Amino acid sequence: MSRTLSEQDLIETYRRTVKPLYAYVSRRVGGDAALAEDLVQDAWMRAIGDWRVNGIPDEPIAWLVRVARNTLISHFRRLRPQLLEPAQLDLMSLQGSAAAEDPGMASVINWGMARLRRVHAELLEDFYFAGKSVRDIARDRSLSERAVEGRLRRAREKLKKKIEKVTAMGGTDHVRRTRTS
Amino acid sequence: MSGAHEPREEFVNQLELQLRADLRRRNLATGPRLWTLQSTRAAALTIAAIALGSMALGGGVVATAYEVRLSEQRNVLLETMEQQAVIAKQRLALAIQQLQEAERRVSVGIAPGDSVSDAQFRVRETDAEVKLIDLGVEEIRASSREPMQALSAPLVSGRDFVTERLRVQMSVPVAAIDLGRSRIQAARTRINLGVADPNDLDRSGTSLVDLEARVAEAESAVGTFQRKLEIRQTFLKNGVTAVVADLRGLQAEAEGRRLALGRQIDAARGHVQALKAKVNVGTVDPLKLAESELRLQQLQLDLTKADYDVALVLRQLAK
Repeated sequence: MSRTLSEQDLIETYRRTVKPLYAYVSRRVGGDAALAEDLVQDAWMRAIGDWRVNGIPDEPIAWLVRVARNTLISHFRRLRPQLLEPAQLDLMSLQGSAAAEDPGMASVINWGMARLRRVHAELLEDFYFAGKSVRDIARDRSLSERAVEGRLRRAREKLKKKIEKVTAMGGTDHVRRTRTS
Repeated sequence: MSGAHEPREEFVNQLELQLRADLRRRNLATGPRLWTLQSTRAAALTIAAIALGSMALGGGVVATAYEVRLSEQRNVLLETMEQQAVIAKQRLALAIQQLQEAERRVSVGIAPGDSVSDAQFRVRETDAEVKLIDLGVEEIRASSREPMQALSAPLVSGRDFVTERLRVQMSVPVAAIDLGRSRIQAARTRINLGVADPNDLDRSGTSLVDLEARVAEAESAVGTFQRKLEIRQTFLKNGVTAVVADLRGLQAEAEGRRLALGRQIDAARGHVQALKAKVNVGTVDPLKLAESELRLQQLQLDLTKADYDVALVLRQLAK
């Protein structure tokens, strides 16, 4: 049954959530503004369609982030990094949110993450894009720091394997993306 | 932008306007649901009441209400399209900036020459998007209704929006052909230099045949647009009826899809063969081969569906 979605409620929610949503998406795509705007716009268009039927959810930002995240995963599943700089393999030693500032790096990590199990992808997302420390992640998940380090190491190894598969051995100095569809 | 991960003010404002307009348009499209009555009897009574009411009020009032409704619909449609146009133009400006940045990087030797081709394609793609939205705005202004896509759509004040739209849409696969050809040339250079494998250009399984298949797909899309343009012209000269024009348009699309799938299947077959050879010498995981075989089967299924679509349209045309 349709519920009424008033323009006022919609706009108030929009103004409250657009910046955190954009910040989340922008970090996930390494600051690629055009892609971030596309994803935010897409999430909001889906929100209008859904909220007109189901009403505004209790936690609209969580809803929007979930939709944007799923769209982003679908987007990176369709993309295929064509050429990868061998130095990209050193990304495993990156500290925290470096990927959130580099669209090329973010593209490679997102490409790999879209192919990992959710549990590994979420851990890497917290580390690479949310800029959380091992301590923060351990606290959020009620785990010991050592356990988080172990899980993070395994997730990085899996990511590295995915990325190695598409790494050109000839050596290039850039990352390019192309649509596969 | 005030911070690295903060949205541009213009984007936030434009998206807000677009959301307002979109919500109004959806609400208007749904309209009040008073007519969804619970019983036939109630419906009959309501229709009778409306008829009596209309007679009592006179046709003039009804016509005025209709005009108001039409005008309201036109304004809402325009508002939505104009917001889309603003955002699309911002995207175009961004794409142009990215192209300039790519050209700068190439000129100082820190990026390969073909990165400019990617950026040029993005500019042409977004430029087409802007032009399509602008055409939509002009058609709404002239007709007070949503733009019509059908090949049998009437002229609007003597202007053929359908043809104009098809030409703009066709410019995207034309640009894709240019991009694909430049990629193929770059790949051939790398193969000739011995730094790339024709069957595995980037270690992700992309082969030269894949690149050629993509160009062939874009060529097939251009062919489909050209056929639709011809059908449109024939319709406007009263050479075919509206129904036949639309069916022939569907036929052109289905045949184009079939052609593109045929080329994808050829590329996928080549890929499977190359992987089989590598599996035999133990340099590739057999799972990778299984994935490729599955993809080939999926494409073959899609081709069967495309064949069915063509047959269906031909049967309708025969009727």
